[in-house]
Amino acid sequence: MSRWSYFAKRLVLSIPVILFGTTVTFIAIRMGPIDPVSAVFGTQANPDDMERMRRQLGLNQPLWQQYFDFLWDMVTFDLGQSWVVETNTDTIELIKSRAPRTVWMGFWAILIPLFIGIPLGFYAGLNPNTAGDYFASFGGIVWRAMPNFWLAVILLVGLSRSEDILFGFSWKTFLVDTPQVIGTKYFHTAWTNLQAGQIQPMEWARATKQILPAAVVLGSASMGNEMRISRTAMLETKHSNYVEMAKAKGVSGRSLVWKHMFRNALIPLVPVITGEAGLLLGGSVLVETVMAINGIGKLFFDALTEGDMPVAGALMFIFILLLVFINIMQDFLYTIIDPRVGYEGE
Amino acid sequence: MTDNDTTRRRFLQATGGAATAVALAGCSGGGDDEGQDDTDTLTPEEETERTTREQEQTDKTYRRHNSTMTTLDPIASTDEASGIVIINLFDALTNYPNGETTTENLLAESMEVSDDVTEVTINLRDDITYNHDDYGDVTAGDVAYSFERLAQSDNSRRASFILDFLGVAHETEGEEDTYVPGSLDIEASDEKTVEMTLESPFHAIPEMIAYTSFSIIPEGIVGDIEGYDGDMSYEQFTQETPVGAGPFSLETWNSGSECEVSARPIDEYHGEGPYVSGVHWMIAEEDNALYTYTVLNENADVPYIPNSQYDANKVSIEGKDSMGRKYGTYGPLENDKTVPYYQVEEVGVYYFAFNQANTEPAVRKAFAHAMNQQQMIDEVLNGPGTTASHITPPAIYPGGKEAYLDHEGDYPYGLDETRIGKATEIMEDAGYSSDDPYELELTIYESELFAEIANILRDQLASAHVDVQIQQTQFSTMLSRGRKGNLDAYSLGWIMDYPAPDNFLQLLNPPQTDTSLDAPISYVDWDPDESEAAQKATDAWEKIQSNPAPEEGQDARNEGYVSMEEANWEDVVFLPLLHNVAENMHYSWVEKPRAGAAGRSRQKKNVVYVGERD
Amino acid sequence: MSERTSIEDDAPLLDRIRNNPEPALRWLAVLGVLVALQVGALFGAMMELPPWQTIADRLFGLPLLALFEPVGSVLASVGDRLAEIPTLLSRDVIPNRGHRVPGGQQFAADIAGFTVEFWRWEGTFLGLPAAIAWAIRVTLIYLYAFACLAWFWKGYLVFRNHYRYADWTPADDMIDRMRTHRWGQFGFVVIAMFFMMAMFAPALGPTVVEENIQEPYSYETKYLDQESGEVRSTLVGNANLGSRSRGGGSNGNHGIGTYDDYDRFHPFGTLPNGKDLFTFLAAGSRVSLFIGLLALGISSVIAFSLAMVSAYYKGAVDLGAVILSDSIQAMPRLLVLIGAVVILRGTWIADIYNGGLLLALLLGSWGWPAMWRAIRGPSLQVVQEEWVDAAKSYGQTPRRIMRKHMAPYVVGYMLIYGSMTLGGIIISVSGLSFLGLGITPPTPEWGRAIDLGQSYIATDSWHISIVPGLLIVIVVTAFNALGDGIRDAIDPQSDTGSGGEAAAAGGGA
Repeated sequence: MSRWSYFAKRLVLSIPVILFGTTVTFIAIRMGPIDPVSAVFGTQANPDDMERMRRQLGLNQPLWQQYFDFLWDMVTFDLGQSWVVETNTDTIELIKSRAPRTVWMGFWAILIPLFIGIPLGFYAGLNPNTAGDYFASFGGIVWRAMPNFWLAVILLVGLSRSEDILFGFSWKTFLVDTPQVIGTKYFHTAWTNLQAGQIQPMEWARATKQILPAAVVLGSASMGNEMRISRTAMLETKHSNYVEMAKAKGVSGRSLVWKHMFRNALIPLVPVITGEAGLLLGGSVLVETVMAINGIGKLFFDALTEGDMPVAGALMFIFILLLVFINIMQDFLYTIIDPRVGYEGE
Repeated sequence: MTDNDTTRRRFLQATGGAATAVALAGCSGGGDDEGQDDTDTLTPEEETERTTREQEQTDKTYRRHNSTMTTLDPIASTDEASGIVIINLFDALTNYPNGETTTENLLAESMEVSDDVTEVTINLRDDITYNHDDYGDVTAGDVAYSFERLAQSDNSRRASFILDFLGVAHETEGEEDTYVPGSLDIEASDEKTVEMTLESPFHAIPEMIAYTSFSIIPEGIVGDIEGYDGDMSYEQFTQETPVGAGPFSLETWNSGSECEVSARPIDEYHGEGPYVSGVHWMIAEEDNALYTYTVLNENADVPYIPNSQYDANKVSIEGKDSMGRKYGTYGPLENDKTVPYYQVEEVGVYYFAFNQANTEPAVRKAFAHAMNQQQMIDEVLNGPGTTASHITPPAIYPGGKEAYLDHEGDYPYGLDETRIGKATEIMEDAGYSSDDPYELELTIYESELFAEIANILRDQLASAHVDVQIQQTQFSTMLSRGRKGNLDAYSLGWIMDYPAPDNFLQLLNPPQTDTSLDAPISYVDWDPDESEAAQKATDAWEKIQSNPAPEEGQDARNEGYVSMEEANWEDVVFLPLLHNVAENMHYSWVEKPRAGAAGRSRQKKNVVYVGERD
Repeated sequence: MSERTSIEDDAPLLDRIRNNPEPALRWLAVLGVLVALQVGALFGAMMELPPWQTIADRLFGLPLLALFEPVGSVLASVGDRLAEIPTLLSRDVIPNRGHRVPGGQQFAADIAGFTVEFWRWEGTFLGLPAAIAWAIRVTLIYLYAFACLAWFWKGYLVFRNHYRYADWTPADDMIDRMRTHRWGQFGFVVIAMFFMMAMFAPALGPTVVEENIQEPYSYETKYLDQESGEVRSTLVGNANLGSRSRGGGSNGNHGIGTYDDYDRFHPFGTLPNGKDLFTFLAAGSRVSLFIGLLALGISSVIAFSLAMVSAYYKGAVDLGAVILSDSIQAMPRLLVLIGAVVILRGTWIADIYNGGLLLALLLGSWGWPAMWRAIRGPSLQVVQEEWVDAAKSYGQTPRRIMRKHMAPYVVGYMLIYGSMTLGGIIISVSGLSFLGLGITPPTPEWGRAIDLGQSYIATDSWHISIVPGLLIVIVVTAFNALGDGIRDAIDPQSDTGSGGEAAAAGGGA
């Protein structure tokens, strides 16, 4: 099977996957006990107003028709307008306005583990069974075992009161002044100005500092994973035949590590890194809730609990598309990086 | 859920009637009973004339917090968070100044009503302009357009306010009686005069049109009704340029992170102020985050004290003002500031309700015996509040607070007492035992307060052979299950629409509690055919309804009110818990009139002055 | 492992023991003593741990099964009777609940800035202070539990030395590797302590769930009223309200290792509602374990059978499994969990075991694809071994081939993965409880404690959130360590890819 027909096969196979997810979402929201109309009117419910809204949203149509309408809308990428969370706002606008915060947080949540977790893991793998290795490995496991929501609460409170806890060290004034310890306020300014063509390094620095605690929490699990995998990968590579061979040939230590071992040790990390997407999407709900960041995680939670079908459905649809796409890309990448991987297994 | 002027989270959620603004004309709030408060040594101060501040705008922004807002379109908004911002961008014809209980004209110069209360003529002021340069003066055509939008637009969530409650004459068509576009009997007879005809007399016109749904916007600004193309898209109107005649104009609204409005020039706005250069709302809902933002980091002008940080001992009361509001200070806060503080008594009640068809009388009585109202206030509410023995709050109870306390002596289930022994006895008589307990599902919405109270009651009733299973659900889910009659027991509150006992007791009018109806007013299925007490309540309600005369009918109505309360005691339909007192505070550099009891979120921010911050 | 199949059937174990009974009898005698000490508790746990009542209600509600109801109730009463047999380590033998004796302290001294007071107590073990009596009991329970554990190990050695036919099996190597694996042993010890906590929860707490948490208004507690100097008694519920931890100051706080005003000792402090945190957490470990094991069981059964079938038949079966597991994995797990719980709240299924069963079902049915992926590789490998081919050519049924020749090879990988997953499940469940979803009050659960204490974390009452959080970290770390240990023991060369790693993180909670 050629690379391209394998690719095509993967694409075809992803159709039932997407269909399954959207259907489950629809069933859960529309057939569950949550009523969006009740959510909008709350206590001040007038039967006429409620009926009017039901008609306007097409909720009085038979369920199967709503289902096919919903499917068709998703397929044609007509995501509709929010029912409850932000009444009558285009879902796409709503997602666009909330997404940058989550993406900003997610960006750092991927970057921090990459640049701390992997180097630490490689270091530990290169120096196995030393104090440094034990420290790094143990730290990685404990770090990963911390529940995100718990870590988030502690960081939020701890950093806000760092003067009392850390012997006068004030996180608020550390490097750049951020009176609000965690948030997306500066990111918002920096981002708006960037769209207007201005680059403000100070604002970006503040924006980064403000998002770091949230990103560290969100990336904590990934960091532990990446560290462990990279340690093992480095250990394995180190003992593999070709490295022994290269050593015998007299390749210098530095070049050996960087040219031969590093690249090969990266291969098993690919699925770990791509696998983070699911963790990030799930984790963002909790982290955003605890840290008061109004991103798409929070949006999804609100939309779901209030029965806002267009928003919750569209978000779930996008999440599924994203995960499916990442999975295909991962396998595709694999076939390029590691020619030993065949097409038959999947 | 948000409460703009309350700086402790309002963890109680209450229901109001279909139109909170419908207040009975001529009745004023509960102020006249204040003197009878015997437990309280403070006497209200004389009313003092408020000195008008020098008309000068500072460069200070008033910084607050808010919950997530849904829309800035006045006719689409149904939540309090949006309303808080909307009321500062848009003016309506009338207004509740400072959220007090009586209305004043705002955009209207005068309002004339024909003798049969159906023909209404409204004259607009001459000096009213919009907060956007492209739109000049507010005209009568704008009023007609705004009202037509409320009735006709697909975006309107409050069409019933104008079609049913206010009842402006209109035509309907089809089986479902849908509104015929353009048929509203409202007309701009000249530049500044609006005339409208009501289908039947309505007693509270100014109160009704003070509602934000009736806000005035420029004619033709959006095209969501027939005959208009719209000057701008709907999205632009609701998110970027909401044009209204209010004291502020929108600067930014960033969904879910912040909202900022900037003040109009002080000589341009028709009313007082605005004294600040703008108002900024940080949008967040999480306790720790808000506490950090407002207190630890002092990024707002109003501190937010979550329950966990609140300490009743930090309140010191200095006096009571002319409206009966206790005031004083709270502090020191964790940032060492002591802040001005005042309490506003809510005319409302919080209660547990039991579906009569789904629960046994014995378990309801046992529940009532176990409930110790005072304990809940002391241990859970941890703040001001009064125990409730009746559904009608003392301020509007027939005969006032004295009669309320007097009648309290007849409360059959031990007010402010935990009577587990009695509860056990009742359950044992009904044939239950610890091996065979009665299973009661108690549904509460996501409220910390009710969760704690329910848990204490659960613990107590566990010893009385009642196995209470607490179900915590989304507020809206609870209501929609209630409407279908699927709840055994639930928790709710009611804040007055208008200051009269029938506004509360209508909840206990048996025919209106039938959950097979489209929209039962409460979800208890209290059936006159099944219970004598329900029949008694039905009769009493009829008596109230058949004696509408303000003076002559008063005695008969009062009798009816009291016998409804007693019928409620008999069957334990609503088990009253407490009457809440709202606590407000702001940092000392903020100067503003204290908010009133009717709608604390209704105070427009043009009256706020922010001085030098510490 | 394949060698064993041919040797096994030579002589039954019983015959071998009959030939040389002495070591076995010695071992059994000691075991008998150990069991006798605790026989009541053993049945107690069996009667309490699963939600028998609910299960029975559901089962006997079905038409045919209703016939068995009498049998069920007889079993239940026998179980209850057995549970009442007194045990050595019960609360009655070493009671820690009592009250101070009026008449002032025995002595008081200031040592290095700390005030040491010593009162005489009544009702406690030997009249010792409640804290000391409690500590003695906890120590004894753990000593006993570890003694039992050691004795089972001894039993294995006895079997290995005296009765096993083969001198050597591959399992020996694994065990030997595990014996030098300090990290895995650390995990094992912590997990053992966690299991013991769940098993002995009723005896470990300074008070019991029934009295302190479930029905506090049905029980009384005695205490020395410091003001009047008299011994009084009050309802536990009222005492709870007087010993709450709500941020300190006038709102009250009872931190780690303190007494409240009612002469009750709180090793971990109290909750905001005045209930004892240690008792809460000890009982919560049972809930966590129940959910974890059930969820793991469900996903293991699905993943395992699917792995066998799809590896054996390949083709369309495998493709179907791939699509199904892809579909499930394409939805972010935590989001699905949150959604499902929000939607199913208030239905009957959410009532069973206070929401625990629902969580277990959801976690189980959404957790199998990851596990299936992790064991799919080994399953496909084993199918290609020649002994499977040989079995096929002998005409053995697919069922038998899967059970006898494929399963043993895959089980080890399941162990690794299961150990890692349990940690992840504990995190997920507490994450949901933290959001106010999942386990309903008053059922003790660790995440609920964190949630209850969340807003007090910056106050004097920080212990409410911090202690359960730390416990989760320790337990989850230990599960991972154990997983590492098993992996290194089974297959020192391998490092099963990312599957286990992601599972350990609880899907982002």
